[in-house]
Amino acid sequence: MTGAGLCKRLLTMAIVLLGVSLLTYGLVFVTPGDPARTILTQQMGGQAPSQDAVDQFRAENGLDDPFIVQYARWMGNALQGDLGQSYYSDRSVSDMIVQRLPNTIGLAVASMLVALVIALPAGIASASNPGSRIDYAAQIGSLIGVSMPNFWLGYLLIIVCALRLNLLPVAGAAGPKYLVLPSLTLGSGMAAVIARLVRTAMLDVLDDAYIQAARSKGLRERILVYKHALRNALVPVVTIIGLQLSYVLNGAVVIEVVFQRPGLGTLLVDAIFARDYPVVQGVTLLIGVIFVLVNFAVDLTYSRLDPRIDLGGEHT
Amino acid sequence: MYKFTRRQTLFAAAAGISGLSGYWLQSGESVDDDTFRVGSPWTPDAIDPVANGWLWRRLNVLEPLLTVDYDATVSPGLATDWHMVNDRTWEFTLREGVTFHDGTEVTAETVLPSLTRAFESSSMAAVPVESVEAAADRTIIIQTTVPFSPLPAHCTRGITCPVSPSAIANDGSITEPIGTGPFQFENWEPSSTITTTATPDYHGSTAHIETLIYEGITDDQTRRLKLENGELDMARILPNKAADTLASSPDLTAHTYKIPRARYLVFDLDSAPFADRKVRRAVMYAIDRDHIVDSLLNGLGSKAIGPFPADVTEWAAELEPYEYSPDKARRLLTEAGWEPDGDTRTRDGDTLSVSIWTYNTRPLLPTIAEVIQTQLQAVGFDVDISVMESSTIKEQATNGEFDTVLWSSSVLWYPDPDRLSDLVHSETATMFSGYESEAVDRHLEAARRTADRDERFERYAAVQRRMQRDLPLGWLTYYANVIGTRADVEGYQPHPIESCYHLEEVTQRR
Repeated sequence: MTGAGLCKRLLTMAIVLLGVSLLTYGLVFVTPGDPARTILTQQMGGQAPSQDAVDQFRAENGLDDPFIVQYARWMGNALQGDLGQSYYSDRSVSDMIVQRLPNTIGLAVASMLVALVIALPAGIASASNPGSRIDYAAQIGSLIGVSMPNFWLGYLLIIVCALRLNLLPVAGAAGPKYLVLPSLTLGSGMAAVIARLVRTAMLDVLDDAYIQAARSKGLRERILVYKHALRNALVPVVTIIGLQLSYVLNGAVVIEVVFQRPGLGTLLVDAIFARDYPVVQGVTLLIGVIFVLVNFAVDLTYSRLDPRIDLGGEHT
Repeated sequence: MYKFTRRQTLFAAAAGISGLSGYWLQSGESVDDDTFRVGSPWTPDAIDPVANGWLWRRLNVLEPLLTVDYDATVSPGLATDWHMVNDRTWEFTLREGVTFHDGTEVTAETVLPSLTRAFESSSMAAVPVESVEAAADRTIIIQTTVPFSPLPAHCTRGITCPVSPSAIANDGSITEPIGTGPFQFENWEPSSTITTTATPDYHGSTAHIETLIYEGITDDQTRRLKLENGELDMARILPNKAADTLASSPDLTAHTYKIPRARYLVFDLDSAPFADRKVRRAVMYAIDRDHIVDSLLNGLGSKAIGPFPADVTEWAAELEPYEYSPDKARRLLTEAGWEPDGDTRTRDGDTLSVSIWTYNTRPLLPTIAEVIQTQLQAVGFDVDISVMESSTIKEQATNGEFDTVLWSSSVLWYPDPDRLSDLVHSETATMFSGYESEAVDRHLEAARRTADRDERFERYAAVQRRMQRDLPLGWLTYYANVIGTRADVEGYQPHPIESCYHLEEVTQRR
C-alpha cells in the first residue's frame, strides 16, 4: 500500500471512531435510567438512593450539563489519552481496560485457534470428499455446533470435564488451564461456521478450470488441495474470521459470566446497565479501534492471498 | 516451501497445545488447608468504602462504629457506647486498645477523616449530618441539622467504616482498605478476587481461618458448580431450587434462612384503576401468596403481611392480613363500579386492564408476575406484563403514570424502621406510589425526633397500620437465602441482614 493510501485509510478510521463514540454516547444518553440513580444504588449495596443523594451525585459528576458539553469534555480528555474515571469505582478507565484486556485477548486467540484447528481440517476433508461419510459427519457436526447455545455447552463441559472427570477447574481466570473450557465452548461455535464456509469455498475452487487442468496434468491430490485450492479458498474464510471477532466479543459476555473471567464483554455490559458513561465510552472506543484494525489486517491478508486485490492508493 | 511452513506451523501449534494442555491438566489445584474461599454474586470493583464499603464490611476487613446483632438490632462496634446528648447531638465513645491493621491507634482523631468523608458522600446525602468532631481522645460528637434518631443505625453501614488515615491519599482517594476487622487486606484482583488474612492481634477473638479469599461470581450456577467441585468452601445466594440438591449431597450443607427483603406491588395512586383503594384491596385478596411460596419459592421464604417479617425484627407491628379470597376481590371490584363483562370487567365503557411492570435481575420476579396475572384474571382483571430494566422502571414510574410495579427490596438494610420513610413519606420516599398521608408523614417525622424506643415503636406501628389500610404498597412474600457450604465447614451462623458474613467464627475440619 502506498503512503497516500495509508493516509486515506487512517483518516477513514478516525472518522469511523469519532462516529462510533458519538453514537454510543448519544445512545447511552437517551436510554432511560439515570446514571446517578443506578450507580448510587450499586454503591449502596442495591438500595434506592434519596433524591438529595442523586442531586449531589449529578452535580459532582457534571451530569447536569447538556449532552454536547459532556461529550465534548469526554472527547477532549480522551484525545489527551485520559479516558476518565468510572463513576462507580472511581478507578481509571484505562486501568480497568488494561486489567481486563489480557483475559479477553487470551479467550479470543485461544478460541480462534480451537476454531481453526477444528474447522480447517473438517472443511477441507468434507470438500475433498463431497457426499462421503466424513462430509456428512462434518456437516452434522457443524449444524450441532451452530445450534448449540454457548452457555449450555459451557455448563455441559463444566459438568463433564470438571465435575465428572476432574480434569479441569470449573471457573476462574487464574492460569492457562482455566482457559481450556471457555475456549472450547466459544471456539466450537465458531468452528462450525468456519468449517461450513471452508467447505463451500473449497468446493467452488475445486470446480475451477485451473484445478481441472492441474489434475489432468497428474498433480498429486494433496498438493492440489493444499497448495492450489486452499490458498484461493481462504479469501472468503479470512473475511469471516475477521467478522467472527464480533462473535468472540458477543459470546465473551456469556462465557465470561459462566466461566467467571473478568473481561471486556462483562465490563461493557455491566457499565451499560450501570450507566457508567466513562467506562462504556472507553470500552466502546477500544472495541471500535480493534474492529477497524482487524478489518485493516483482513484487507492486508487479502492482498497477500490474492495479489490481484488492490487496497487503494494509485490504481494502475 | 510455503506450504511446508504453513503445515509445520499448524503441526507445531497442535503439538504445542496438546503438550501444554497435558501439563496444565497434571498441575492440579493444590488444596491449601488454611484457605477458605467464599463466592458471592458481587464482583469487587472498588477499594473505597464510599463505593463499596458494604463488601469490605461483609468480609469483616472494615468495622463500623456500631454493628448489627443477630437479632437485627444496633450493637457496639468500634464504639462501645453511644447516646443522644441533645436532640441534634450524639456522642460516641470509642473502644479502648484497638489499632488499625497498620498499627495506627483507633482514636477520635484517626477515625475522623473517614467519618467526615463518608457523611459528605452522595450515598449519605439523606442522613442530615452537620458536623463530625473529635471531642476528646476517644469521644466523637456528631451533630445533625435536624433531630435524627436513626443516626446510630446509619453508623452500622459499610460506608461509614473507618480506615487508617495512612490509607487516605492527599487527593482524598483510598489507597488500601486498612481497617480494624478480624481479617486484613492482603491483595485484590479487581472484579475478581480479594485475598485477606486473619489479623494476628485482633481486638476481639482471632479468626480460625488463616486466609480468606473472596470471589465475585455473577452466575449462580457457576457458584454452585464451584462449590460442588471443591473450588469454594461457601457459595452464597444460590437459587432456591439448589437447597434440595445441596442437602442430598454428603459433601455439602445448605443453610437456608429468612431475610428482611420483600417482594411487593407498588400501586400508582394517581391513575385509574389503582387510584381507587377498593381496586387495590381487590388485588390483595385475589393473590394467593401461599401458592407463590409453595410452588415458585420451593417453600423457602414466606408470605408477607406487612413490610417487616416479625420473626426477623422486633419492629413488625401486628397487622390485619389480606387473606386469599377471590370472592371478596370480586365483591370489591363490583362495589368499585367494575361490572363483569365476559371474561373481564368494565366501568363506563373502560375495560379493567392493568399492566404489571417488573424486571429480571432478581430471579423469579417475572415468573411471580405471571402467577399474579393468572390470579388477577380469575377475578376479572385484564393483565399484561412488561419486563424492563429496573432503572427504567424507576424512572418511568417516578415521572409518569403506571399501574403497578412488582418490586423487590430489602426492608431493613440499615437496622431502623425509619426505612419506612423511604417507602411512604410523601416527600422523601424513593418508592413511586405517589402516596400522600399527613398522618403518616407526621408519625415518621415525630419518630425521627425521639430516641424513646417505645414511642418510636408506636409511631412506626401506626404507620404500618395506615399502610395496610391504604395500600400504596401490597406486600407479597419475604425472601429466604440459600447458602451452600462444604460439609466440613462449622460454626457458620447466617446473619439476618447480612451486613457481615462473620467468617471469623467459622472453622473447617479437614
